[in-house]
Amino acid sequence: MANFTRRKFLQVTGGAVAVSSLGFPAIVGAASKKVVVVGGGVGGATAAKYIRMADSSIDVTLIEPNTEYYTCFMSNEVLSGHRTMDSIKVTYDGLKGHGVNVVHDTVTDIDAAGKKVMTAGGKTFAYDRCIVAPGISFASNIEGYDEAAMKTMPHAWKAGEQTVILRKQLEAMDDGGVVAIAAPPNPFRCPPGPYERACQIAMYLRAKKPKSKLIILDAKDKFSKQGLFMQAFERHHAGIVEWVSAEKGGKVTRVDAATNTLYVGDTAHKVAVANVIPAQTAGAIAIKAGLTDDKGWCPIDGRSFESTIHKNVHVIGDASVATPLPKSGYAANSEGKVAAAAVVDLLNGREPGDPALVNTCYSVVGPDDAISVAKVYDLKDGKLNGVEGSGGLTSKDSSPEMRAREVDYAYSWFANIKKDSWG
Amino acid sequence: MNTYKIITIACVLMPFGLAQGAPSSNVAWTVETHSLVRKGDASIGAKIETVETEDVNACTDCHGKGGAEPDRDKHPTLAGQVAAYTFKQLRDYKDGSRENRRMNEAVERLTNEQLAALAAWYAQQPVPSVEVDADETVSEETVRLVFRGDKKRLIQPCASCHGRNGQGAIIDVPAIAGQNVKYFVETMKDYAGEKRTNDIYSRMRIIAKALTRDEINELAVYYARLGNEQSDGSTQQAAAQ
Amino acid sequence: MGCNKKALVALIGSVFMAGTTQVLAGSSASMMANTCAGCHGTNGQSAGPASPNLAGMSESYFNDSMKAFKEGTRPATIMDRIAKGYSDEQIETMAGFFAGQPVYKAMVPHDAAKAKAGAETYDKSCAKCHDEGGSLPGDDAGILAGQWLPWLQYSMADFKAGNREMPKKMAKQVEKLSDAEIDAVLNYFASQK
Repeated sequence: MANFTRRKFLQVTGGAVAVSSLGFPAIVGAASKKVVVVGGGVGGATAAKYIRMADSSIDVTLIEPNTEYYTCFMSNEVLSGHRTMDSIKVTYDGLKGHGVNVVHDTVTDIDAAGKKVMTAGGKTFAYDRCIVAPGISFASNIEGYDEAAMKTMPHAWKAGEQTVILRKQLEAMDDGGVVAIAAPPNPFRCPPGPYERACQIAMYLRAKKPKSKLIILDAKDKFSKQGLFMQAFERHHAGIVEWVSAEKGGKVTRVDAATNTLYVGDTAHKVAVANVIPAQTAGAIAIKAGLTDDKGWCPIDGRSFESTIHKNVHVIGDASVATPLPKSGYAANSEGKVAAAAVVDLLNGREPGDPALVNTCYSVVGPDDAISVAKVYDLKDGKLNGVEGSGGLTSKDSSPEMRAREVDYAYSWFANIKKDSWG
Repeated sequence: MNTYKIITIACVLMPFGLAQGAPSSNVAWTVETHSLVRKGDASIGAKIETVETEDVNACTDCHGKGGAEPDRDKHPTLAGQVAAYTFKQLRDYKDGSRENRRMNEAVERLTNEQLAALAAWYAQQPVPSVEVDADETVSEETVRLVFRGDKKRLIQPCASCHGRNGQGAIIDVPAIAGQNVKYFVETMKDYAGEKRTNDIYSRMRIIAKALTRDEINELAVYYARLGNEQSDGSTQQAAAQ
Repeated sequence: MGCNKKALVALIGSVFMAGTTQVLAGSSASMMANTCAGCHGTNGQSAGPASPNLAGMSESYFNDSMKAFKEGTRPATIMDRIAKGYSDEQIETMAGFFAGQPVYKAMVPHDAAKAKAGAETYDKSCAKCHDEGGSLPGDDAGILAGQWLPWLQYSMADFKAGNREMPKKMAKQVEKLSDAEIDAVLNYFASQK
């Protein structure tokens, strides 16, 4: 502010008047502000796009290692053979169309004090505001589950190559085999995911390998949409799917990748296909940049999603602590827009307005049967808050007709969130 | 308080003062206009209301027979409405002073005499009873607005123009007793939001802006019930005679 | 100079507007409306295959729909649960946002032969309220042109089953139509570009 001379002031206000009276989004006498977005998943992509939509004078660079991104959502339908890998693939052409500078590189560090981002490719990007959307990384809660084990006992919790491995294993499996899903402890990405996956794989097994079984070995005693999933297990997947809670011996502590065996204490489950989903923390770069708390997730201010640890850095999506919002794709999309609006406000010298967020999440649990959960969120007393009376689950008693509609709406959700985030 | 008043007044004046907007209505209550409305032939109005053309619905399609049975509660009850008021609204639709695409189209090809005939027809109809949720309450403060207004907010009593029984007045003041709750609320919101601007001197806009949403809701309930009481009363009287 | 005067008025207007915005607490219209985009598309332009376009929908139709969802008087899969998260004022704020967007007609898969047959039924039975192929946001008629076919079909199914109330004049028309005619006319609306 000390350098804020009278002349500059005149230039800036002159620019502002020019905007108002002529209607041109021309900024006079101001260098363009720079935003760097780390990570091109749903949160990062959405934030980048919405910043550009709100203020095209802001220079946005998005750094993401992959040139093609596979969405986690609907990847369970690839496992069941209902859809192809191609159908969950997105590219970054849409974002480029919005004027986002997309760089395919891996961020190796974020210097919050120096306001710059460094990459494996040796580049440095200065920023005025940085948005970090790194997703998740895996914690080592299961002995023996390492990088090598992931190749034979895929987690498939980041879609892409992992999804393909798991699908191929299911295809190669003999009829009568056992598929195990080791479900992670809370908190983790996509809370209903493991159970929707069980339903999807069960649909494949019933059609192609009807003598097979699927067992969910869970590190928890309860899970998201539980009543509705149990209903689906009974209604569509009876005789195939079995859920074992932690209490009943479901908590996998060790694996042996060589023999495809999962251990719950001393009890061994030797299976045909093992899908091991480990415990999770914020994406590695968030940890490296010192954005995480002692539990491994990134605390944020609910109004702007700015880190409460480092100024000028915002963290969105699965990596952030946005409780009561779940770690879901829709939440990440919603958070991306809140962060985008806040960043645009802050870079234009305004206080960020009140945020509004929504989560909607569908699970396709059987033929012509989908269920959903939804909630509206706002800011109350400075904290993110689920609006009372809003949201909730699909009714257990909803008619087959309405369940079938939910499948169509689940696919609409998918088509629209892809386009809204990357398109 | 003072600042608020100034801002309110400035906001109200702006469209007329600075922007030099069109007048709120082109209907002037001259002797000729009054005479035209007074001579409106209700029997012709009765025929016009059922006429539908290739592109326009009949009046009855949306407002029901005699304007007494709107097909949706957001469409107004026209039965028993003051003829001068109905006439002015139809004229305002015709020249676009009041905007509603469907109504603008509906009156496009009607003459002033035909509009007066419709107004006369509706004025002859008894006020029908309207649905009001039994759970809705009306506070004493709201009833006070009806009869006393609120000087602090420069709100005139509703009754001072619309009458003690919400019956309206001969010169262009609508009957509001017996109006649909939803239409009443929507109308007030349209006035408050400057979406309806055909009130002379923006009288209703000023009042609608000063009222809270809860007050508007309660006034709508109050007047709907008032209409029902009156129509019940007249039925009872008729039965007694 | 006339131009300058206009600009001055606009400027003063915008100052007043800014003042008003400050007084009103709560999230902005775009902030709230953007939360819908994950299912209804950016700015309410749906990528389908079933979620309806919201872009260009009249305020009246949007408000009525959301309030009906909130009160449970219109059948819903998920919208009832979402609508309950908003006050009437917030709903009206979002309505203003979507009404301000240009009408969006999606490239909707449909049966061309049925659409052609449906044009006649449309002219006869629907055109008065759903003007110009259902593309004009009438007071309460919604936008049907270029809407996704499954949504049109679900809506009509709800109307016919009596789960959603039809305006009397619509009921009068629908009563006269065969299932095949209705199917055709829905394809006609979907075909509008």
